[in-house]
Amino acid sequence: MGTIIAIALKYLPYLVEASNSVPQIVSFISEMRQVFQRTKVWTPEQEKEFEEQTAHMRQDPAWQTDAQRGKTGGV
Amino acid sequence: MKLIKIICNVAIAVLLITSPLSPLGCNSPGEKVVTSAETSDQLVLRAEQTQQVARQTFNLLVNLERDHEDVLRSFNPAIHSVTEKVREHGLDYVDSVHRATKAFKYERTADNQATLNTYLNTLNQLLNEARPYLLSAQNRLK
Repeated sequence: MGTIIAIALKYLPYLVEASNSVPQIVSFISEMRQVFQRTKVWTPEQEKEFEEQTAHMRQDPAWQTDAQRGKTGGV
Repeated sequence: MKLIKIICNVAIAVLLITSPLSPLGCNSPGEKVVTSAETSDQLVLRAEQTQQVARQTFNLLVNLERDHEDVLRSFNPAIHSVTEKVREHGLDYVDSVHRATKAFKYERTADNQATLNTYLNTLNQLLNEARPYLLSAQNRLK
């Protein structure tokens, strides 16, 4: 028992220092969980949202081809 | 000393990971495990992620090219050609994959899977074609 306490006391400063990293470690794990949770199959609502975004994108002038803008091809 | 610090950090991380915070991908008690559904879920997941990435990439490219058309045309005319191809087909391919994904998701037949794979390959081809030109355009405009 005494040996265990001695060893614990010997490494206590390192454990204290390491424990200062705990918030960062927890934050890292939390972010990784979010990444994994995003890799879930879409719900019908998410599908609909994606469709609406795509339809909206088609209206963006940046998506018009030269032909649609009335420009001829060639440099 | 540095090694001990690293070991302590890793030990704490492992303790946290093996705590109730962690078990991602484990099934909750009583949940059925169906291997074939998991495999097809992977295909659906991949299809949905590809749709999102492709649409994002295409949108970046068309906007960048339109905003800097003259500069990029004189730098490399191929950027404009590929971007025009993306404008013509990009969103249609994304829509095709989207419809095929939904069809397969709600009716997991071999035909639906084959259709999804075909549209996915076509979308990936255009995405792989567009990516280097997007990178090239971004580098030129830095």
